[in-house]
Amino acid sequence: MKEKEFDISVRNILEDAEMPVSPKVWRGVSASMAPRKVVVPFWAYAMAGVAAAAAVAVGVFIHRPAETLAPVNPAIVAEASSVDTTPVDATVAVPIEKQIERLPASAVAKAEPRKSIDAVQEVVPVSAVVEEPASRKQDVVRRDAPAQVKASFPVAASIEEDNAALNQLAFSRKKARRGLSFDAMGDLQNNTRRSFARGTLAPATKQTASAPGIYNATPEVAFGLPVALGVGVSYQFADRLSIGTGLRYTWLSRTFVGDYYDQDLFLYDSRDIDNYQHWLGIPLNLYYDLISSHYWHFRAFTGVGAEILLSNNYRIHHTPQDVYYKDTAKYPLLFSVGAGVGLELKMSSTVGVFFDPSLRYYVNTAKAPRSIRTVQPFCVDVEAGLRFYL
Amino acid sequence: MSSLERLVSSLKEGDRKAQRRVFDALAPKMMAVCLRYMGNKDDAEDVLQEGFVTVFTKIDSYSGAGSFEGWARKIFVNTALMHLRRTDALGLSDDIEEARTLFTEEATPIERIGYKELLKMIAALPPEYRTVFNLYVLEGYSHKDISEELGCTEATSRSRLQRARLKLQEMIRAQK
Repeated sequence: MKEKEFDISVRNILEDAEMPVSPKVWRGVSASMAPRKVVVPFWAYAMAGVAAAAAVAVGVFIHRPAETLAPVNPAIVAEASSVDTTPVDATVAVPIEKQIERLPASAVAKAEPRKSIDAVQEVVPVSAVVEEPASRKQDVVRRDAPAQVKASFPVAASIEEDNAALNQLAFSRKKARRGLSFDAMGDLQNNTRRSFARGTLAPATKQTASAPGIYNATPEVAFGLPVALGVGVSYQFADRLSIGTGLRYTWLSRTFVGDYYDQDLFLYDSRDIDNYQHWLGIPLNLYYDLISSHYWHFRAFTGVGAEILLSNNYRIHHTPQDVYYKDTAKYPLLFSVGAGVGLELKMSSTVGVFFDPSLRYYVNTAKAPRSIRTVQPFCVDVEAGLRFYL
Repeated sequence: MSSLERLVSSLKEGDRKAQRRVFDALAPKMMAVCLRYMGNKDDAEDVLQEGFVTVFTKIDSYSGAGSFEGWARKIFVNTALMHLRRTDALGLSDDIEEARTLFTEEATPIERIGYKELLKMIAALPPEYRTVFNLYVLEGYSHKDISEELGCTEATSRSRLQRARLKLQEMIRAQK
């Protein structure tokens, strides 16, 4: 046989040669071709939280509402109602002296004569306060319309009284913040950039199936970003202390390669598998106000959480149609502890926006289904949302 | 748009299902290619894995001109050569002993050999002979191309090819 003929014969025999391929090859390829999922490192969360807080703070302080000029103080209104409110004929000018006589003694006792006159002139019409509480701009001191006054009370007969009124105002606001508040929040936790897949591509010995389920799972190709939504309620039970709880739904996801055996123990060999876990949790937090002002307050908090797995679903990539599997196994509650600091910016007297970054550690992960929480139990948690005060 | 064009387009978007389809379609053939070069299953699987990763990550460089399988095959061959170079298996020293005269003109019962047996025989060749034989006989490289690819002289390439043929002939006869 000549060389050329030999070569052609070899080529013909090997032209369409095929050899069986071990499933571990696809596992390796799949691991190397990890989907480009968003991985948010610790520092990005911190920076995002600070930037958002700063942006809102700037917004709030630039657009300071008119409320700051003259809030309606129920205590002052009550005092005003004790003043002689006998209707006065608007056409008849009331002498200043008469008006002074009608004022309570406390309003004029410390006042200089000139200031007393000013005090009487600088009155707020009670009708405006009572009948139009929303029109706060009218509450501003009026110097030019004494003739329209039906009844009046002094706002500031002296600097001391001014201060006393402001203190009273601050106290009443503080008091108003105590009590119940509700919040609606979103929450992000960091996932990981570490590749759990490289190096250990396949289990050393393959498990054979005795029941439907996922077998021979490789370490993850990628973890999705943990996302949570929730509602909560807080109660301020002491001057600086409040306690909060609520309900929180969390969504976890991951991708890995593994074998799936269906009900008939038919093998879907070495497939890409997406795992979606749905958790419902109850947090219990204790908050301590570090610094407070009318527009924001800064607090520290610590707390615990308990979460239960609502469902654990798998999507097995398969052509022409993906296959779905639901893990019905029961898992124990997953507990966590956490601590952090929070910034709340008051948008109005009833609504605030808050950012609560914290560090959280998931405690009993050994018996939990595999997720980002079991491979990385220590994480950064950033809650943000709106808080509504009753 | 043809089904291949659609598939390539999906690959370019990083569609994992498309990747799996391509893998399922090409892997057995490419495994045979890798076995021919590497000589053992473990190394062949390593090359196969690395080759597929290259195919999927370099898919943008496939222009659509020419067969997709041919383009992919070239990647697997290059990956195998890279591995062989890395392991110093190609024996870069020149080996120019004339072997032409040793090739027998007797009929070799190669037609009776199945592809699996033939693959095993090729795998049993020394790596430097196996590589030249694969490149010349099965990939259609010229001796000039081979010398450039492997960094040897054309004479060495010829000599190695001839020795590979002889060894195969011996193995086939021994099987008979």
